Amino acid sequence: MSDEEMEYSDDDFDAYYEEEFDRDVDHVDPQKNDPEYFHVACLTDTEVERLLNESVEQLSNSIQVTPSLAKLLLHMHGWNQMEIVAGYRQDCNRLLTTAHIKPPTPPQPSTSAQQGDGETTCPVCLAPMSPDNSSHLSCGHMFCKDCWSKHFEVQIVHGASTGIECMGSNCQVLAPEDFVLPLLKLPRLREKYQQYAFSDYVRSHPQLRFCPGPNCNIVVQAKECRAKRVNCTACKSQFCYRCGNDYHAPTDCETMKRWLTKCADDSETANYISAHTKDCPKCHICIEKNGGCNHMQCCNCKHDFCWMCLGCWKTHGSEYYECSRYKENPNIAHESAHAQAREALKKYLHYYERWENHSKSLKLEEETLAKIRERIQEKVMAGTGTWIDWQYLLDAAALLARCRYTLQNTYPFAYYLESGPRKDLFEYQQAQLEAEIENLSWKIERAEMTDRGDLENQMDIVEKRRTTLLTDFQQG
Amino acid sequence: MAGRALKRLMTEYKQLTLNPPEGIIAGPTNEENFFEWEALIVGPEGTCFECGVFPAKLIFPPDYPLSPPKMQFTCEMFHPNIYSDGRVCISILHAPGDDPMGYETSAERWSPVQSVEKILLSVVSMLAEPNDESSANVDAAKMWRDDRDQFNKIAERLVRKTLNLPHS
Repeated sequence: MSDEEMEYSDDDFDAYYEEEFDRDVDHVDPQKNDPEYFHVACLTDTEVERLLNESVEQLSNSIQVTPSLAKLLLHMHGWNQMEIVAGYRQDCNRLLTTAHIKPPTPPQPSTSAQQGDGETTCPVCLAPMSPDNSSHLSCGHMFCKDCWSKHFEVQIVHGASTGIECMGSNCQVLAPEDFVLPLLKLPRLREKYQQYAFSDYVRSHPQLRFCPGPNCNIVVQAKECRAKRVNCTACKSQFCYRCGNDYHAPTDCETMKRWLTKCADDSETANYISAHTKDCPKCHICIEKNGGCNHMQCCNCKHDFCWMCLGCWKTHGSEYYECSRYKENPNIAHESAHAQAREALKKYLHYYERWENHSKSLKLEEETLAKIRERIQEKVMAGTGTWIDWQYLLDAAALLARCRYTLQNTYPFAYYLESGPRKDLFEYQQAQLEAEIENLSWKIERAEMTDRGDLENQMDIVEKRRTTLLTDFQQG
Repeated sequence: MAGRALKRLMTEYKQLTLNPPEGIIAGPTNEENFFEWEALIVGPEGTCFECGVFPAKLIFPPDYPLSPPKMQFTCEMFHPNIYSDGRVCISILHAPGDDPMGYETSAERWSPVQSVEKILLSVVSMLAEPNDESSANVDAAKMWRDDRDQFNKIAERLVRKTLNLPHS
């Protein structure tokens, strides 16, 4: 082979692989396949500090102000450098005035009381002060350093930091970090001041959020503020990035808040009405639900029925699953107020019962997971397959939990959705998801009798239904 | 900290005695304790509180003037900005940060350069012009807005009471 030929084929090889690589990237782009995809970074406070300091340094270099003023400007403007630089170029005085760095009117030569001998007194403590032991901000309000530090102490004890103002009457000029820190004598207070200021900066930063987990110091960074799931890498809590509460797709943050408030108000009634047990519709034996699956089989008469509607399970095929859907009374507008109230309660209870039921199922399925682990152990000990062979059962249980969680959160969404084709479509998809989840749950609970291929097929169906629903309806 | 507070309060007391503003008398309840003052406020002329002499007490914190004092009327009051127990709720008695009533930002807040005199003058103008948007006494605010005659009648009764006069 000549050198020339060699080169040629090398190029060919590269070209072939680059193409392959491109296609691969395209294929795994998670945003296209996963409607819940959300890129976040979990940062420690040192990392956040570094990130903030980078912005501060950039701004301080580009508009030539001290880092401390740059920090204040960024804090006031939601860390939007472009906006600040543009505002600065346009009218730097206005920018500094609206950020409370400069007073609206130029300072008077001296606002403190002049005494006969030319010595001035501090207007707060009324003690004499000299230029050495006094200080002022851009507004020119002169106070003795002792009063300044006492003022900062009082403010910090009350939880203020970035918002500490000048002591002057109705003066809103803010004290920047490099003015406050040298005047704070106690290390404990300096620490507190910096800690409070840090929280203020994180709160004003549109791309940062504190992890709501108990005692968790992680700050989550995301490019956009969206109602997406965040998994904290440190404390493992899961939450919605936008509202910081439990993740709630496909329902949006506001609807979820309304729903939870409503549930807190009304759920006592709901608890009273929906008892924890039901009677078998065929033999009327009292049944307590002990698994997550809504497809019940009476242990007495072997009748298959649906826990939700108590109807025969045979009618719950995937094309005919209707018990997630609430049927509104079409003549309700003509009924009396009393009947309307009853109808409203009935409607709420319908959704609440299902929401609550899935929440209970999720808990019961945690027990199923423990049982699966035990069974895998038994099987491995008995020599039927290795531990790795049975991993798919754990995957199935995890998928079931994820799907049921989404399904649970579809009920508040459906409750507030207005009737119409969109609601029809939503409830159709919800019913489909519900049916497939129950199938999966049934198959997992009876894993020994289910063929592995069949179960994995079911997993695939359920996840597709879930992502379809989320793609079509998730908001925020 | 109390030393600087004491010095400020003594100076303020001296100034209030030498140049008392019209309709206001104020000073420590007893000279042993400068952190508790008594004040007498004369109802402003031309208002429903005209001629009344309203007693109040002021309690100063040890870090005065960095933190504001608290003020409470010790007579019966019926006013949108005074709680039923007599506590006064106006912007000048609140630090810039805390905002229990949602004041507009233009309202004057406490700052260490404010003084007892400024507080009492603010209270006089509060008596003349209630702020019914941030009310401490909702019933009074409602009556002030909707039934001024009834409000004026109650005010007149309170004025007579402070002067120990029988009902008219």
